[in-house]
Amino acid sequence: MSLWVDKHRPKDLMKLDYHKDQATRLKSLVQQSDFPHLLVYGPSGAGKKTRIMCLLRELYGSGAERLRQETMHFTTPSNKKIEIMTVSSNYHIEVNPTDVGIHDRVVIMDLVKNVAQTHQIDSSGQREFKVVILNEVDDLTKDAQHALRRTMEKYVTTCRLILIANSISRVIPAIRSRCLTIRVPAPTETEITNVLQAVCKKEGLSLPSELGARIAKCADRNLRRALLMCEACKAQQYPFTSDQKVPEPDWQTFIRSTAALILSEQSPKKLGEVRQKLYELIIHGVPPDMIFAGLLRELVQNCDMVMKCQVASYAAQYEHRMRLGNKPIFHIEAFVAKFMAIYKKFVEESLM
Amino acid sequence: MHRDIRSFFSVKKAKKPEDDDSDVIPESPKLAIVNKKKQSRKRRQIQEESDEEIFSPPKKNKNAPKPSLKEVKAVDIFGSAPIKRSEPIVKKSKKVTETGIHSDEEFEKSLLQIDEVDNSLCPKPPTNDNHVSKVDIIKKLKEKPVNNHDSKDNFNSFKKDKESESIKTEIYKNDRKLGKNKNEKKVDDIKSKTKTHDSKEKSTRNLNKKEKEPTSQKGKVDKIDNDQTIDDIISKSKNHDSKDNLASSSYIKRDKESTSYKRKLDKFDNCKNTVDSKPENIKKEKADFSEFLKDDETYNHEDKSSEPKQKRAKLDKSLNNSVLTDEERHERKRYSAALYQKYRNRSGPKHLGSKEIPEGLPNCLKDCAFLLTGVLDSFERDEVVAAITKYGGCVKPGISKKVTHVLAGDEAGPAKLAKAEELGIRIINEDEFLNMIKGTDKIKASSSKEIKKENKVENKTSSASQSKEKKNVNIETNKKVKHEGYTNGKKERSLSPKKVKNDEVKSEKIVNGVPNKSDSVDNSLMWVDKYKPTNLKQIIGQHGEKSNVKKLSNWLTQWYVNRKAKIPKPSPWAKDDNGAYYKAALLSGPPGVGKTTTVSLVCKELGFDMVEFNASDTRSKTLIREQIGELLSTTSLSAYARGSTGKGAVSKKHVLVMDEVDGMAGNEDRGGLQELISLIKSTSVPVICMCNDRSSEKMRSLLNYCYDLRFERPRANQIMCAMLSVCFKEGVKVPNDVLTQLIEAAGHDIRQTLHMLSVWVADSSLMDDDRLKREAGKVKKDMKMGPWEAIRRVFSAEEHQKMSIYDKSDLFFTDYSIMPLFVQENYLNVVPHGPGKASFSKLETLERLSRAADSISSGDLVDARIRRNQAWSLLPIQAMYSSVIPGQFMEGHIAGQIQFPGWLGKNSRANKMRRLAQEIHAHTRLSTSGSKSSIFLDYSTHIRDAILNPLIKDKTEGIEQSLRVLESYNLLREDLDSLVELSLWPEKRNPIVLIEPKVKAALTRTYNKTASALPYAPVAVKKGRGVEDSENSQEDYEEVEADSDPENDTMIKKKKSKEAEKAGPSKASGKAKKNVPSSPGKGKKGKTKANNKR
Repeated sequence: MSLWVDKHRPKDLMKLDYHKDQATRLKSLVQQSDFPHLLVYGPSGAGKKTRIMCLLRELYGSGAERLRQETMHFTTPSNKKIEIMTVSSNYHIEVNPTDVGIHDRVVIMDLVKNVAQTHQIDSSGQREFKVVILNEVDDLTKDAQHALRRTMEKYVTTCRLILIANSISRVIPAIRSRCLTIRVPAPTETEITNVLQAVCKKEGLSLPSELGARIAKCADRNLRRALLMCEACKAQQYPFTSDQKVPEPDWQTFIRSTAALILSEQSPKKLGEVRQKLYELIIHGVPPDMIFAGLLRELVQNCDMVMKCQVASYAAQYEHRMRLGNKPIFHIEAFVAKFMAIYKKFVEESLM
Repeated sequence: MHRDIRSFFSVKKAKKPEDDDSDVIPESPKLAIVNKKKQSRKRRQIQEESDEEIFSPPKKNKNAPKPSLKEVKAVDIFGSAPIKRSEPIVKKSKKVTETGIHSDEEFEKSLLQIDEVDNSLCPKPPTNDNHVSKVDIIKKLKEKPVNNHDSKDNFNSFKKDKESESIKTEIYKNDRKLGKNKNEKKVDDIKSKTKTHDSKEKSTRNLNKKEKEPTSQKGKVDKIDNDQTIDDIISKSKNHDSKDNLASSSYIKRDKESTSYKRKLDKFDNCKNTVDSKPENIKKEKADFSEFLKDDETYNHEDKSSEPKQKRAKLDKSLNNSVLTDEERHERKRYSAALYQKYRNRSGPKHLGSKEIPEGLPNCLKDCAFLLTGVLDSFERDEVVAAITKYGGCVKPGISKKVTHVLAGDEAGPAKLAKAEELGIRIINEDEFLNMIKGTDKIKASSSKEIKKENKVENKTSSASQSKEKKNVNIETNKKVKHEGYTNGKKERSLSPKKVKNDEVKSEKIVNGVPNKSDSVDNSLMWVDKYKPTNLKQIIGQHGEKSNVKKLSNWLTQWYVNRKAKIPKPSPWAKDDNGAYYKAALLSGPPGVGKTTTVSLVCKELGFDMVEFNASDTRSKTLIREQIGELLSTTSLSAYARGSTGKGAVSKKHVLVMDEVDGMAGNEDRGGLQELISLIKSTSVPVICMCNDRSSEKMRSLLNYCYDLRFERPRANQIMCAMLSVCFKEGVKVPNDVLTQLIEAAGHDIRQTLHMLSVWVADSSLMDDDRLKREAGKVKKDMKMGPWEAIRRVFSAEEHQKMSIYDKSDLFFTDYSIMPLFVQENYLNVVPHGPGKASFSKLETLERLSRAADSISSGDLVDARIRRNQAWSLLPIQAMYSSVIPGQFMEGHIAGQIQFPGWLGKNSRANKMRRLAQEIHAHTRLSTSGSKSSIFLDYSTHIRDAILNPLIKDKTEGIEQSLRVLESYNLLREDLDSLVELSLWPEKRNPIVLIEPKVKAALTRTYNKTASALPYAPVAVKKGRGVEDSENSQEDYEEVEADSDPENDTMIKKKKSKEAEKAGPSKASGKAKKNVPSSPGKGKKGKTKANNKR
């Protein structure tokens, strides 16, 4: 008994709920029997993976849905043995190179070569190429991305790469230019509401439209989250009422409370407490950029326009540094310290 | 002169005045003897009646109330037990002097001399020379070998001599009787004069409260000594076996009983008295005079002569203390504990920096020795110490006679002050001290020595006055010796103690500027080699009974004996372990304190041959095993080579010396330490290892097999002594303060000090004051500093004042990997100081804080760049950003404890969470679409709730539903725990506690029974944790096949396993299933293992 989000995932390109134009285009792309490397990008919960799976099904038939998990082994140049879990069907292999951290380059080189160098034995009625899906390409190290460049060209006859990323800003231009980039935008709130209604219908439930709208709003245009929240609402209370409380993800509450802490008092001691909260967020795997965004959203609500700009620019500056640096906490803390200084000044001036 | 003896006993108590003496002196010995006879007879008749009234003058108030002299004497004087006990110790030395003086020829000679002088001398107080020589003569007499005649003979002859002599000089004496008395009076006058001096009050008190003060105790002891010696000699000569403490009383009793001996005895006593008290009296008298004459040399003598007395007094005191009751001791302990508590809590100077140390003349504190106690009002202790040494004074660690001033601040140690008062040392406060430097207190400063002398005089006078009686009785002989000394004055000078002589020689050399020694050969040697200790006694700082040298040589001597005995391993906390258990010794300590020297000298002394391996030898495993093993089983021919033949020539006594064992590292010496340890275990010869850092990681294993001998750095004054002697031998004069600085600069490293000294001697301009100071600073800097200390300095405003930017960035390099973390962890706790130590406003503080944080964040960028590109040359830039700049912005002090970086712990927790998430992600991969972070952010809570809610709501009925969720997501039972951990936020309740344990257990049981097939090979998961490699081949095989054959492996396995499962539950129970080699079972086991491992 899976969760709704997995249970009701569409399996066919034509059955997608939104971005239907794009789906048609993808279908026509596949029907030409050949297609270039793809770079699919978009925010989390927009439906990238769903679309890719639909595409594969379109390409290879239902055989592409018979998935299995395997572990592959690689040896790094420094003789370190690494292994990585892959998901594959007979026609494709999917891997998440960032699982092995800084050794992702080895994975990419070996795996792609491995797959690409073998030809399909029985090419009749089959495609001549296999598909390699690489997840989280934007988190690949620069080395790995560069390693990808050449293999993409060299083995283009035997394999197609589908790269998945949240944002192409961290994908090197060389790769971007070698791929057909497909953007999967996050669904709008109405789209989400529609999906929620459809799912509830399938489940035999009736969802008040207001509640659906509220869930969609809370979900931050993330369909996955919306569906999960919807299910959580159901678990919490059924039948639905339109004014029922929508459970928020814990980490969002936590970020909010952290922001409240920052606003409550500006002192080194408070900063120490804030630091502990930030650590907690990081430990629980909340991506630091989301912490930045969450904090900023909460903090600017208490600022006037001049300060908003100031704070936002500082947040951007420190987030940029965080990307370049190693330890996110340093930069988040620096941002908080900066904000405290600005805010304190602002408060004192307004008092005078 | 019978009553002489009695008066002698009563002297200390009664302080008999001169007029009494004058009655006695004029009488010739013969007359005296007659008198004595009569009186003793009289006394026998009177018996209980006190003679006191006859002899004691009205002055003596103290003794007056005593009922009878006889009764009081012995008991009162010897009153307490400890004094009795101290007697035997003193006795011996006294006896020696006694016999020495009784040498006939000597005495005759001196008498003759005295006669001569008497004729020519006017009755004036003798001059300085006279006094010096007096003592010298006595010393000479003592030193000269003496034939130990039968004491009876001695006495007899002596008696005769004396009688004849006294007849001869009778006339003179009668003449000069008055003069003598005058002399005595003069002494008194001077005494009273000195009393007017402020500090003299104490000594007058001493005189009054004799019993309480150590000086009086001294006097007592003296008295006792005299009694004792007399008693001893009597008992010897008459074969009396009584060595009683109550000697005098017993003696008197005997007196009464044996009248036949009486006469003889009386004579004896007379002689005894005169002879015995002579040296004492002379010394004292001499001291009295010489002090006023301010002669340095006599000063020295006096010092010496007074020393043993002091010791005795001390001994007495300590013995007295030992009689304290337990309660008293307890009280005292508590008191001192309270004092210590106070000491720990005491604050710093109250008005630090409010005064400045004035400029004074160089050496204006010369010859001053200070003792600092308590907290000064406006100076740190270090500042004052620096000032004192700068102006030529010195600082003593504890109170002693050498201390001239006690500089007392607030909460000064009461013990120190009391002691200072006792010794008559001036106690000054801060302002007085400053005045001394300024010179306004010139007299005090410059004449500190005199003050001291005067103090001493007073101490002396107190004892002198006590013995006045004695003196007067024996004034006859005193005089003689004095005169004798006068005539021989010049001659005797050459016999003055070595020290004086040395001084002279030294000064001579300095004046000449030419080294006396013609060490042309030695000149080529470095001083370090030239003045290398050649025997154990010369090793600096290794003289004590518990010194390492002693321990080592004991250990080495006992080595072979100890091997035969079975000795249990001592506990590591055992004190005074003699190392009998150990086959090897480990000498550890900083460089240049004499470890190698110690070993080589001990070996030499005990006749062992050293087989030495140091860092210049390769000490790998094979080498140690083959070469050293071989070496130790052979016999040594070194003695033969040195030319000796016979039995001793071939020795089997080796010592294996492994120098610098902490240097055994790297490829060269691979496995060396392990081999060394195994060698130690099986060795048949002693092994001595040496290292600098015994706390290093490498030494840890070795330590278990070694007798641990730790060498400390010698104290500055210990090195100072040795250096002074080197300077003397080299014929150079090095000012004391320079020497002190050299030692400090070398960090108490003897070798280094010698090197620096030789450089200084070669060209003193190379080593000027500033440079030495810098050098000394460097020594401190080179010391290992932990990050804690470093971080304190990073933020300390005080330290910043004397640090350059390089010093600050050096702090970062104490450990460049951890320092940024330390800075980041602790910068929030810093209270930044504004100008004038005021703290900033809140806004300013925050402003600074944000700048520091900004800098730290920049530092992280550099760090990332360094590690990504191996650009280690950027480290100094990181030092600036991560440590120096934050330190500068937040310059102040750290409030509260310095924390260990929390980042490390948090990071590892974050990693663990990430790993758990990745695992879950991998397991749920087939049914979910999200990335890893979506597990964190979205799935974890919901999947958890989907599994746990049925359990909470429906209890056991919900199990099936929960298991269905688990199955659909291909999760393992263990993943449930991971999920709970992932989704648990602080301040949120753990939902798992809501589940009844019963339900939980049921869930686990059911899960085990119905374990479903998994799409992934759980073996892989196991291997993912690196548990097993045996499955490798199989896995590889599968991998190869994976691409070519689509329908094999996992999918097929899945089917199979399902079949196996179907078979499993029907055939066997859940328990038995573990033995079924089906893949899920295996997987589960592996997984459990993996989890356990975690």
